[in-house]
Amino acid sequence: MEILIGIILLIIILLYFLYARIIRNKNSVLEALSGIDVQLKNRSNLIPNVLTIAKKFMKHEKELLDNVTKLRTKESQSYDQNDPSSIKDHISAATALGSELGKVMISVEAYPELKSNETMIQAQLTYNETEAKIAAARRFYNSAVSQLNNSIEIFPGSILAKYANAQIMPFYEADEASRQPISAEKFL
Amino acid sequence: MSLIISVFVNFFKILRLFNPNLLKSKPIGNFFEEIEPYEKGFENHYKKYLRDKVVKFEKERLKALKIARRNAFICIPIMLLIPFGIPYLILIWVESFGDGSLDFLFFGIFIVYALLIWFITNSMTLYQESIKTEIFPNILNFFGDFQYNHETQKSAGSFEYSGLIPHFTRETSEDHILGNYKGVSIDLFETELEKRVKTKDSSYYKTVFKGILITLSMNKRFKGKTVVRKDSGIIGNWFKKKFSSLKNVKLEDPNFEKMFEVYSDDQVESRYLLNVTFMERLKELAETFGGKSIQCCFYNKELFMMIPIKKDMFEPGSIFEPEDFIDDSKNLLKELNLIFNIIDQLKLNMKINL
Repeated sequence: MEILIGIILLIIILLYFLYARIIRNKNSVLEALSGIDVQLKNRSNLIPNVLTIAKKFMKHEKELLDNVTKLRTKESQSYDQNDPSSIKDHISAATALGSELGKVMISVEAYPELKSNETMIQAQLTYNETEAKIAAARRFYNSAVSQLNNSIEIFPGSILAKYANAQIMPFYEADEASRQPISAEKFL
Repeated sequence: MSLIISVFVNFFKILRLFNPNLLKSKPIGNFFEEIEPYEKGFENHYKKYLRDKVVKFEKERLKALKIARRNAFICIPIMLLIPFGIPYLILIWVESFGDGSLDFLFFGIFIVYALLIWFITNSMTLYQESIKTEIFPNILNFFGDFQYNHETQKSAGSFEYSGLIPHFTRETSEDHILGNYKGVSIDLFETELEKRVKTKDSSYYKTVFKGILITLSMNKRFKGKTVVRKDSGIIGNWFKKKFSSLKNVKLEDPNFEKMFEVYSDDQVESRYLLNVTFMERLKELAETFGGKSIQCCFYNKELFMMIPIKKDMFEPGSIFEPEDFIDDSKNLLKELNLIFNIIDQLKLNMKINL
């Protein structure tokens, strides 16, 4: 009898530790997500300045610039940090904005006056730095998501996850364009 | 241990004093041959700042050796006679103080030997220190505004914020170098940190770190603190995780993870600093130093690095060779180039994202 009580007690303690680990991992994902949002906000704040200068010179890129404005509005919308599909949409919007903004920065090369503009040079440097920080935040997020997903996909984590209100979270993957080799022809 | 090594080194130095050709000045070439890429342009520098000093220092070298040899002729007979006197000394000591305190007698004999060795080698030590204080700054100004001080007020204790400095009870620091390379300011010194270890009957000092401590300026201020330490194995890492206020940062590169453990209070910033390229550079740098456990800490606007090196760095050439400062220059240039390689390999002079 005593042995049985001991075993039950041991199982309860073990389950508690697994439960605590899921909660810790879940909080870590939320922390990482906030880290991404801080960096995305920095990038978002940079966009109006870039667009103001770019519009003066890039007369033939109106569609691209309008697209950036639209995606910026979409990315800035609030989302539910506990809902994986909402997070996925938010990440997609951020990725799409990053991709379009990247195109703007490459298109700048075709406008020598704009390229040598002091404000634009500064904006490009800040943009590069912000993108590097977004990449760092993305690595932290993906590492946290990987830990959370592993902890709730493996039994008995899959059962405990329901009680901890934890769900499989989407990874923040680099956009398709940045994975493809760059073709200069597209931008010339 | 370091005391035993020092006794051996001095013993061989004393033996060399009896070389009959010791005080004969040999003809000196006075020509600096530029072999390595980093030596380019030094020949002119040598002509301008060093060659004129050769004659004066050669005279001083011979003078120092002459004094050392004279002192050796006085002291060595005493050193040889002492062992014959030891039985009598023991007898007198036991009669006066009993046999329980013989340790004091042997300690006293050891002190006498140490004093005699110091008396013989002191003139040579002073000469070599004069090379460091008068010649080294003239070699270092080849790189521009570099300063060299044989002694340093800096202490390893001032880097305890990094959490990398091991516990120590004795510190020997010297060779403080300040300068700027490609816009990165360098502040380094050589140090040996020792910890007192108590045994049942006695105690001794164990070296816990020997090498150089470098502070390099960075092109941006960091919000948090990121520490890259050597991997201490599963148990060692677990203890460090438990007792550190910083959080462990898991990075994607498995080879980097095998070599280092990263801790930080800012998970995003640590990954911003340790991006894929920088991790690669840090691995390469560790290999440059023979796979030694390089450790570093990014904090405020600085990168602090601990590089373990067994060899005594920034030392003048042998006093038993004719003086021409060529060996001194070649050694110093080589050692400084090692430090510049850190900046080049890690690309610390680059303005954006390292």
